[in-house]
Amino acid sequence: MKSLKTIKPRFAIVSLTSCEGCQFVLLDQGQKFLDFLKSVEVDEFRLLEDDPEPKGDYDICLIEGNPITNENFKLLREMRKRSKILVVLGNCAALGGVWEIKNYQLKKKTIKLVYKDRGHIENPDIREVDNFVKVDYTIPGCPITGSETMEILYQLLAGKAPVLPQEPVCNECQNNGYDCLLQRGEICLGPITLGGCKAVCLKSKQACWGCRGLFEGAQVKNLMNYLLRNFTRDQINRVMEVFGARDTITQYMEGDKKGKPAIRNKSL
Amino acid sequence: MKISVNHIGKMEGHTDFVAEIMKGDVKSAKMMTTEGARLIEGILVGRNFYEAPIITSRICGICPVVHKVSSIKAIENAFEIKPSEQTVRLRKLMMCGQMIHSHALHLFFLSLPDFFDITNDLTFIGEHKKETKAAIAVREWALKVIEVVGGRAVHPIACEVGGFKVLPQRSELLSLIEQYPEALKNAFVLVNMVLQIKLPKFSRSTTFISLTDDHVYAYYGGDIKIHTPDGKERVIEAKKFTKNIQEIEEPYRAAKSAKLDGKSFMVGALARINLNHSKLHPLAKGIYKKLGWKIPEYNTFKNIVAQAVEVVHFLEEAKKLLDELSLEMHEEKSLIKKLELIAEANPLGHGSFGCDAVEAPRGTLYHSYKIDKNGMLTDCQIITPTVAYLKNMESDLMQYLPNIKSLPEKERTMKIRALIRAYDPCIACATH
Repeated sequence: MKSLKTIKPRFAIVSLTSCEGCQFVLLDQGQKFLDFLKSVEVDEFRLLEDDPEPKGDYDICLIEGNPITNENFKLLREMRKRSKILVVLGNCAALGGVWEIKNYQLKKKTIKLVYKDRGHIENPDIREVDNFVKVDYTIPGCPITGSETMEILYQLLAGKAPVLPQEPVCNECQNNGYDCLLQRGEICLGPITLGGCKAVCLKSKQACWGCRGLFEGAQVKNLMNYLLRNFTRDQINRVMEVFGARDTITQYMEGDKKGKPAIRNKSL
Repeated sequence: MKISVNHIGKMEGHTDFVAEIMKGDVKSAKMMTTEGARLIEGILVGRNFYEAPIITSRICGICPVVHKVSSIKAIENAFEIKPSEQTVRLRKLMMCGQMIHSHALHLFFLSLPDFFDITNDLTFIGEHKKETKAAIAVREWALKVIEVVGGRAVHPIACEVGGFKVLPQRSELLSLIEQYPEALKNAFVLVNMVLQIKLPKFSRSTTFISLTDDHVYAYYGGDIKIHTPDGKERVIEAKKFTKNIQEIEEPYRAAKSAKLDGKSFMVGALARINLNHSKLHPLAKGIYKKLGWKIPEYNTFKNIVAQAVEVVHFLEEAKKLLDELSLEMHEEKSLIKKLELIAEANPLGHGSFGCDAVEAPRGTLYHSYKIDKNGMLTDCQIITPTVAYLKNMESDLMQYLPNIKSLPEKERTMKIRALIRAYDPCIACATH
């Protein structure tokens, strides 16, 4: 019996700068999530505990949010060093999130719009977490999808590499019989965006703005050519900017495969 | 002596606390927020108006509904658009869900364990299985409300400027009505637990601010009531909020704070109960009366009691709205389509300004926008509840520290954390 506790994987959830909505999606799973927590050793999860942080390594670490402050960067590198498996949780960490819009603005001007007379404000380029540390797996979405995330967590627990089907949002949208907003004349990134979200936005007649990133094999150029018939490049860019997808999609179109994979969900 | 409390857990966002005590006097008490600035007000400038509710709801993962609704209302004010009564009911219903699930999470999972001297929720829930089940169940009902109306609980989708993109099914509303008695029963399990807790004694007179309405317990709109320590009350229009409340930037943190007439003030459940208790729904009012509070109630720790009362109130309010909505729903098109707002223009044909205040779970939330004639945002200001009461929290801590300064460090730290957490601070909101 003695060894039972020690064989539980050591688990951590760490948040950088974010809205923490992805952690709340986990909490909102209610008993299901609490049951999951029973099968791990919860070593670091500041939303639910205020214990001194234990030393030692983690088997699985989820990272939510972007590094913005120096402290964020330090914490991110530290967690990578100490974790066997590092998983990024949600759109901010995976694609840069809404804040990536700042990359397309003048940095000082954006600060000035918010702070009139405060001194230094950290405003680095917002970049995906895998630019700074090696990322093992990505859980996509703004926010993440609860049921999908629970499945991924249990797969990780079982020592398996989680796999997400590489299919577009369109598949789930069509299967559910939702209206095709692309055909109705809106900019919808559903055809190139990784499904698994149950096309939840389309259910509410909101076009897909690509928060889950590209899927492997996405026909990006086809969609862009189609959209450019009715919209300007600027209009399309603006939609892609909202969830940090613009740079990834642009890199992919330009065939930039060096350095890091353009498809951030590839590892899943 | 210097008192430092680092990495305060069980709250949204990141902050440390530092105080300096010299010869028994507290010289300073500072909430040192460590959250990065996302500069959301800056991000929005140059973007289209319809992006604002989508982007600002990302300020906070626990209270996205109120950011979204407040943003939408402010833009509607700028456009001089009046949403339909049905739209208003649906928004209110979502906000009820928001209040209930946020309060239930905070009071049960984040704050309550402090008064059992438990630092880890997993220990706490192991010892309180019945109450945990109730807390989860009442949250699930509230989350379902938001999902049914807004399409998703975290970052709802269906609501936009002018109305709703899609409407909930009547059967979904009926099913929520059917589950209501169970949700209410579970809420009372929480209320009973909260009422049994012996909270620390603490009192510091301060100014309370909340929305107010002659007829209802204000949360969707209304004027702003200000109750000062001298017992005087004044009511101002919501659009004059920024003329009365001054936002402050301080060198030691990225989060802003706020003052009214140069002094700190309190917003949130405790402020609302203090100012609007006579408008509570019957069951909530029954609980309130049993409390035997002498108003104004200045003990900040009692914020969680006020939240418990509000959980019941907003359940009753949600039930009322569900009953009304399930009786008849019009298949109405969102005004955004009717007005062809999607064509990216200010329907007034010229630039305009609009602002709005709603009650968020943590207190009065203010959004304002300037929109040019092409529908592009040229200015944006958001004052979140945590910004509003950050100074009040520091003032409370300055007064509280002498009472606890001779306690052993571990115990003292626990007390400091408990007071901070009783506020239900959201540093993510504060450092938007």
